[in-house]
Formats: sequence, C-alpha cells, structure tokens
Amino acid sequence: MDMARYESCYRHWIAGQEAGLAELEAASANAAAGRATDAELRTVVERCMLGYQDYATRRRALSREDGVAFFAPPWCTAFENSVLWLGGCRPSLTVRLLYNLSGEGLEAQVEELLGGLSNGVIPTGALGITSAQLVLINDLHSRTVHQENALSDRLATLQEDIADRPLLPIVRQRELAAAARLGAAAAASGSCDGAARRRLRAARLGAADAEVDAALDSYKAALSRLLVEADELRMATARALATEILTPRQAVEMLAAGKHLHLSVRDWSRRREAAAGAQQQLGGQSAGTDNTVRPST
Amino acid sequence: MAEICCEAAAAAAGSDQKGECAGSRAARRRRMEIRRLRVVAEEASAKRRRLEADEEDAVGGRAPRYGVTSVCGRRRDMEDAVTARPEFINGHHFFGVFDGHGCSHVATSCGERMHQIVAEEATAAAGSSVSDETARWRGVMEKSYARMDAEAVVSRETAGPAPTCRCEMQLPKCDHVGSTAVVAVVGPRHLVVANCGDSRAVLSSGGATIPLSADHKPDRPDELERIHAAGGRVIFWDGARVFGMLAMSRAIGDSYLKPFVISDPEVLVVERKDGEDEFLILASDGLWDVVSNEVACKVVRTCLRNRAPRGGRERSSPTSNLSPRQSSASGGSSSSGDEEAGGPSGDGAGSESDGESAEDRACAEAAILLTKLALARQSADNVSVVVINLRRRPRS
Repeated sequence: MDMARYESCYRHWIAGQEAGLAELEAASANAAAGRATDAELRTVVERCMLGYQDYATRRRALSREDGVAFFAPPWCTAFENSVLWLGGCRPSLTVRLLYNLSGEGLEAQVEELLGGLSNGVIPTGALGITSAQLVLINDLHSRTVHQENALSDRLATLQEDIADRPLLPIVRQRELAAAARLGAAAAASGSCDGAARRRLRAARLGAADAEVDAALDSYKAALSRLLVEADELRMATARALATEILTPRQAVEMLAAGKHLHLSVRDWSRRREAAAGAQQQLGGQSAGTDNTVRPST
Repeated sequence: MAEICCEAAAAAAGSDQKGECAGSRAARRRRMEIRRLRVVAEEASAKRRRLEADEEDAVGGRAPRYGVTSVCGRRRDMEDAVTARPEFINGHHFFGVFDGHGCSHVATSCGERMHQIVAEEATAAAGSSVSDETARWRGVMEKSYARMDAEAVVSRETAGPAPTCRCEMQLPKCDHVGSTAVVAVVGPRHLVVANCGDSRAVLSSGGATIPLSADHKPDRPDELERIHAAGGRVIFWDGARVFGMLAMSRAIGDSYLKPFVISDPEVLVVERKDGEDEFLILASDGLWDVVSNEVACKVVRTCLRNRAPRGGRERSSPTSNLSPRQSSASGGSSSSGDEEAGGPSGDGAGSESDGESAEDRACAEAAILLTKLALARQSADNVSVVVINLRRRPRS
C-alpha cells in the first residue's frame, strides 16, 4: 500500500487549512474595519466550503483503496487520533464551538444593559447571534447529534461483527484443523513435539488466503462507506451553519476559529510528542509549522 | 340541563297542588322528588354562577404575553419539555417546564398531558362545594400530579417508544426515568404554582424578586427528614443524592426510588396584584444553576422595560427609524433585520400593531437572552425558559 499518497493528501489539507485561516483572518479584519461587503465575505466563506469539499472528495477516492488508514492515521499524533470520530472531527463539535464563540462578550453587554448604559439594545454577544439564529442552531444541533448517533451505532455493529461470521468461523475452523494436524503429527512422532507446533503456526501466519482476505476486505469496504457518510455529515453541518444560519461575517469568524483550533491542537500535540521523544511518522521536508516542531537530527 | 331541572321542579310543584286529596304515601313521594330536584337545580345554578363569574373576569383580560425557549445546549440529548397553553380553561393560562432525567419520555409525557389533566381536575373542582380558592387549586394540583405520576408509569405499556427515547421503555431502565414539573396557572385573580423537583418559578412584583417554588433537594432539612422517616438514605456523591443516585427528592416517575422520591407538589396560590406584578419566570436548572433569581429578574425587567421607548420613538417620526437600526448594527446585520421585521411605522394602525408585536416579542427576547447567558456561563445542561408578562393588557 502506498501510504505516501495518503500522507500527501493530508499535507495538502493542512496547507489548505493554513492558507484558509490567513484568508479568513484578513477578511475578518476587513469586516471589522468596514471594508468588506457581505458579497465579498460570502465569497471567502464559499471558498472555504469548497476546500472542505475538495478534501472530502480526495478522501473518498483514497478510501476506496484503504479506508482503514483514515481511522487511525499514522501521519497524525496519538493526541490528534484520540479526538477523531470516524476519521475526522465530530460534527457536533462545531455547534459547541459556536456556542462558546457566541457567549464571548455577552456578560459585559448584559452588565451594560442592567446598568442602563446600552440604550436598550438587546445583548447578542460579540458575534451577534440573534434569537432566531439560536433556535435554528439548536434544531441543527439535535439533527446532527441524531445522525452522529446513527453512524456511531453502525460502527459499533461493524466492530462487533468481527466476533461473528464471516471471520470467526474461519478462525474456529482453522484452529480445529490445526489441532487435528498437531495431534496427528504428535501421534506419528510418538511424542508431543514443540517443533511441530511451531511449524504449524508459521504456516498459518505465512499462508496467503483468499477466504481471509475476502473477510478483511469486506470489513474495510464497510468502514470506507462509513467514512464517506461521516464526511458528508461533517460537510452538511458546517455548510448549514456557514451558509444558511449565520451571516457572512459570523461565518467568517466561526470558520476562522475552527481552523485556528484545529491547527493549534495539532501543533501543540506534535511539539509535546516530539519533546517526549515520540517517533515522528512524518519524514522529509514539509512546509509551514511542521518544520518548527520537527526534532533536529 | 339546568333549565330542564327547573322546569321539572316547577311541574312537580304544580302537580302537588292538584293532588291534595291523594293518598299520604303518594304525597310524601312527590314531596321527596320535589326536594331532590330542587337540590340538583340549586347545585347546577351555583356551578353556572361560578363559571359565569370566571368568564366575566376573563372578558376583562386577554392571554398574557409570554416567551418560550428550550435548547439542548452542551448536552447531546434533549430531555426538557415545555408547555404553554393560553386559555386552556376559561380565563386561565397554563405554563409548564419539565426537566427529564435518565431519558426523555417522562418529560415528554408531562409536556403533552399535564395541562389536559389539570384542565379536567379544575373543571371537576369548579362544581365542588369548596369555596376557598386556595384549597380548591391545591386539591386540583395534588390530584393532577398524582395522575401524571401514574401515567408516567403506565405510558411504558401503552405508548411506543419515541424516536429519541434512549431507554426504549424497557424495564428496568425506564424505572430510572423521571422528570421535574414546575407548573403555573395564571388566572384572572390568582397565580397558582405547583412544583415537584428542582426546576423553579420566580415572580417579579413591585421590583422585588419572589421565589414561588423551593427546590426539592435531598439535603433540604424537611426533605431529608421525610426521606429518613421513610427508611431512605441521602448519600453525598457529587452533591446530595437519594441513595447516591438522584439529585432531587421529588419527581414525576422514578418508580424504583419510591416511596423515598415522591411526586407530591408543593402548591402556592397567590392573589394577583395589578400595578405591582410584573412577570413570572419558569425555568429548568440549566438556567438556575448559573443565573441567580435576582440577575434573571433584572435581565427580564430591563428587556420588558426597554421595549416601550423604542416603540414610542418608532411611532414619533420616520427619521427615528435610523436610530434603532444604527444602534443595532453593532449587534450584527441579522439583528438589524429582526428590527425591521417589527412592522411598519408612521401608519396609525401599523403603529398600534407594531407596539403590540414589539411587546409580545420582548418576552421571547428575554427568554432567549437568559438562555444565551446560561450558555455563556458554561451551563452544562439543557436550558428551558418561559417568561410570562403579568401586566394586564388595556381593554381594547
């Protein structure tokens, strides 16, 4: 399996995240200065959405070959992998992020309101989430969690299937046949022979086996389908928030915060694992922040 | 029916006179019938007078303005339910907040059925001889909560599981499911608040913050005493819990913790005070855990108060439209859109409806602002809020 192509796909994604963050931050600064129109901000948001879509499309193609790679990617740190859900970020995390962003500045505005200093404007926080938007966000949250749970249930079923047909009968059948052969060999040699047992185990491990390959391929294919559907849910949740519920300015702020969170957690976990002497899976030259955390050799 | 009874009584009385020469037994039988019919007629008449009195009061007022919001917040499951039923019986309005635990189906049942049960019990009680309003409403609520608690158990046998019902109503899991229930009935003359659990009702009247319910926590001294007397235990495990499991001492449902966790409500009946009563807040502990009664009332009071001046400015001249939009622009363009949606200004009829719709929206804004404040203060639970404006509308 050519893992380099998967890693290349990921590097392309990270580079896109960094470039996208820079663009969003510039757009945010322009909006704050009153120099960006809604149409311009909407264009930036749409470019960000297209970046996500492009990444999902690339992953879909690669996952047909080996979807398993995305579930515990060797190119990510253990910390990054610990927060993956079906190969990516959990869609409902986006709603949690938005709740925290929408709360910023609200306490101060409420204090102003209660102190009679706000001319009666209803506080909405720095992000300006309105009452109607909060209702829509809550509805999206419920739908997203429901769909997440459905996909999680399918993964659970798939994982439990490992202890069922087609794989378990093969395992049981092989063990029984091996035991029978071991018994026959022992009888022939007139004693229990450790060498015979070791030879049988070596044969089992070394054999190319169409039946086993078919069983494992079936599992991989099912995981691959789950990854595609999970990516679709991630896309749908982000797109609903960014283009249907939030204003262009709010969407820019949310998308920038999301990218910033992703890149920060990635950089911090890499630095810590490098400092702890953890083996770096990424080799060779790399652009951007990865250089700064790679241990010198 | 009352008229028929009266006519029958009159006819019987008439026949009595004509039958003076009849046997004494027949005469006694007729007199007994007349007496019974007169009693029935009197009862029907009294009931009709009581209902008419309620209706007369109802004519003088309209449904109160209120706002409702209910969000999942930082949890993955929504277990709260909220009900608002204006005019659920003549001149009376029902509001309820039900915060479920263990699963959502008990709270959902409360949301769907509690107002119907209270309506049935209130209608039945209207015909009773109890003249004391406080005692009558207390009886209505106690019966209603008992019936709702019984239904919470039965519902697992009769109803199919709801799509979001995690326990799938399978024993023994559903015996660990329950709900708080804080209910308010706003009548022409009285506020009735019944509470079971740790959701809460808070009244603002004359600028003062007045709790109308007391949280049923297991370590509340009288609750602790009641639980111990029943043979139960309260264990401190991340707070006081009945048998270390449930963080409230009263709830609808929770069959496995009876008789230690009971569904008896504490009922408060207060007379309404025109000119003083401002608003009532019902909310789940997702709000009250992070926002005090006083702060909540200040926020709502300010929201309700600040609606009037803006309405006035909008009516005074077209140029004043710039001011609200400019000031709200700092809050985001959608917020500005909300303001514009308030309605036309400059038109006489439009001004009137605009003022009314602005006042109606103030309650919703207040409820959602409290919700957002709870989220900003890191509330970790579902948040459900009802804000009820108690100032009576002027007669039209």
